[in-house]
Amino acid sequence: MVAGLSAPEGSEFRVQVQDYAGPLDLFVYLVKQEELDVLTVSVLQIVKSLAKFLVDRSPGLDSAGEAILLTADLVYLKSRLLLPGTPPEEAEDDLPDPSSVLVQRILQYEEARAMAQGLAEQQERRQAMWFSGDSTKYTETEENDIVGAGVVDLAISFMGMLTRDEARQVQYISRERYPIAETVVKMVKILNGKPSVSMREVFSHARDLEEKLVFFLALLELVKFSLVSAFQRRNSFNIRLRLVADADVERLRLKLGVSGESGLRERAPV
Amino acid sequence: MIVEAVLFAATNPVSHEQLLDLFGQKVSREQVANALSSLWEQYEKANGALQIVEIGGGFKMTTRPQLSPWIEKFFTKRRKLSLSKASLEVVSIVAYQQPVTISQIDYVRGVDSAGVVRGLLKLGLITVKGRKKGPGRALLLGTTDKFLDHFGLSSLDALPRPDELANLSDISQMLDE
Repeated sequence: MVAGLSAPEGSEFRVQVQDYAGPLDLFVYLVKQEELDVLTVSVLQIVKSLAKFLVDRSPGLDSAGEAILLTADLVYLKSRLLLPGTPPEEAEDDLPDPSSVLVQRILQYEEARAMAQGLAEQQERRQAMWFSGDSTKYTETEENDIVGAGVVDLAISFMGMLTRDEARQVQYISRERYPIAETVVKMVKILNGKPSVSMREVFSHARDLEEKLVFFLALLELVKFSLVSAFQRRNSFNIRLRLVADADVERLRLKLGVSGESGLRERAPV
Repeated sequence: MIVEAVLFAATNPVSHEQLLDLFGQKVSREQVANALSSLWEQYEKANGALQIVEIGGGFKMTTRPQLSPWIEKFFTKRRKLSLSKASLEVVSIVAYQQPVTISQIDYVRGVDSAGVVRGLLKLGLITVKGRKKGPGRALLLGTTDKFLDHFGLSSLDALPRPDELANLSDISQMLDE
């Protein structure tokens, strides 16, 4: 399912294996989180697909570099799991352990990526402040600069918003505390009257983890009924949401059992 | 009023020193600080479209963040300069580990970063701070005031701390297991 505008085909390397089909970065993330068993996956198949993707689609340098790096990361993760560990007594005392050097490098790279993500958010906050002399920093928008954010993009962005403790927590959602219908209305009210709102800002209205999860489910409903479109600029981590002007409000109302006065207006303002 | 006019007209952040130079010997550093502080309070109290922020080693008059979507909509054909993921990675390595050499950046990223570094130098977000002692005398890179301005930081101390960034210890734990 793709929300709002759809991403042009071929701009991103996608993995298709037995239990998974989607972007490579999410795949590596799931392997690292041990949600997917890398031992059952044919890394050779992924490497072959990557080589074909690079030849057939000629992606940009950034996309190609990232795909190669992530695939290398995946190969490393699998090799590390397959190789037997060296008993401590056999290890050379005077030489650095090659695997620990590699682990250190991966940690450093992950840290750099996390710092880059932090700076991307900082950049977004800064760009929300405008002043007249700023115009020299603008560049003309390319027609295909804005791309639709799909469900996987929304999921990655949502995972990025959770704290470490929240991401680990098993959460049960009670029907009574935060009904989805009411949350949908709440979300529409947040987006109402604004050209667009960042996903992070929308989710900042959730009071706790349970409400954050219900927010996510509500967002999926809104996207499914084309009441909200999700989009992002190419090369940007940040997803923005906006109400769609000619949304099928009536269908969503019927499905959720929400009355006309509840905040779901006939036509969402642009 | 003079400080307000200068902040309105200036393109770059205005520092204490620039205001002291403007007034010559007539005012003290404390008086400049007080003027800025009372101007800030005045704008906060008014809660209008504009605000005063400390950014890039100085002060600036900007629109309030919540109005950004409207201004973006007004400039439909324009967008602000957003760095690519690769540029963000390189600039963050420089910011957190400065002074740093290109080979140190390459080591962390595992790929050649010379092109990205060149782009960031051209944008003025990073600069050459000197040369490393020893063979090759590699160039040492660091961030600029323009970097602080671009990311809305008052100083390098305002960078998000690495330990505040999510999931790092999870990855560390996974690799240890």
